[in-house]
Amino acid sequence: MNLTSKTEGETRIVTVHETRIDASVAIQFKDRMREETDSAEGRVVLDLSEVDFIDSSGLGAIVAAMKQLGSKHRMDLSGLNENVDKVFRLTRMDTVFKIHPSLEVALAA
Amino acid sequence: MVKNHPDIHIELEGTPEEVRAALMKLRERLSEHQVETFNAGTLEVVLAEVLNNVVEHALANHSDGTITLCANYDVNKWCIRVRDNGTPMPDNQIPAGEQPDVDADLLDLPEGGFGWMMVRTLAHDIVYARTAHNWNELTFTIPDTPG
Repeated sequence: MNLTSKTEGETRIVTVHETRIDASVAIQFKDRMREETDSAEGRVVLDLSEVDFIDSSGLGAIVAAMKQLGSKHRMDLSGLNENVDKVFRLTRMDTVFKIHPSLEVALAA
Repeated sequence: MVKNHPDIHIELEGTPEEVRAALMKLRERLSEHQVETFNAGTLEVVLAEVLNNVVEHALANHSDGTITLCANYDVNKWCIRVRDNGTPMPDNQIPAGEQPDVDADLLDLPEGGFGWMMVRTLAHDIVYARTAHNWNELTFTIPDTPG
């Protein structure tokens, strides 16, 4: 599970370098998210622009990643492609996360 | 109807890795038939949930779990049949798939329970049965226009 992160100002940006977040990697994803966000000091932006498929287990892992940050840090999403966006809309999870069309927009927000 | 010789026939073992491989194979097959790629994203989302459910429930604790997936395009829809040699659905019916509560507080947000809700929202003509050989059989259709 290839994730990288960098800090810009108070924002920790985590980028997923995988095309799929599914049941076969959901637990690994959650663990890697913890490692990449442990030392975050402010908002976290999860950049999904390289991801072209998630299933409900992947969605659950993204929710779990936000929950493990606790209430101190907000987690936003950016760069959802059509299929990924569809899963968020169907499950109404688009009402839980702030979703930005791109990382640039997320950083300007 | 799923034809006797469907366009797509994939057999897999009951593991999450095999499900991923099968869905990637499906994408490859779909891209070979460009005219038939209508609504392929929805087809993949639904199949992922159906196959994951088989792996997590019907085939849990089965070492010889086998799943067969057949699909063909029929005028304006995809016809799909998924069979597995696992345990029957509870009460011999597919779950209601109600929408989990996403208006909950952060720590109470649901991390699961979305699978059947997505299947029931996106798929049509869903029928579950046990076959004469004691396999589970789920058939459904996916319209070729995104909805």
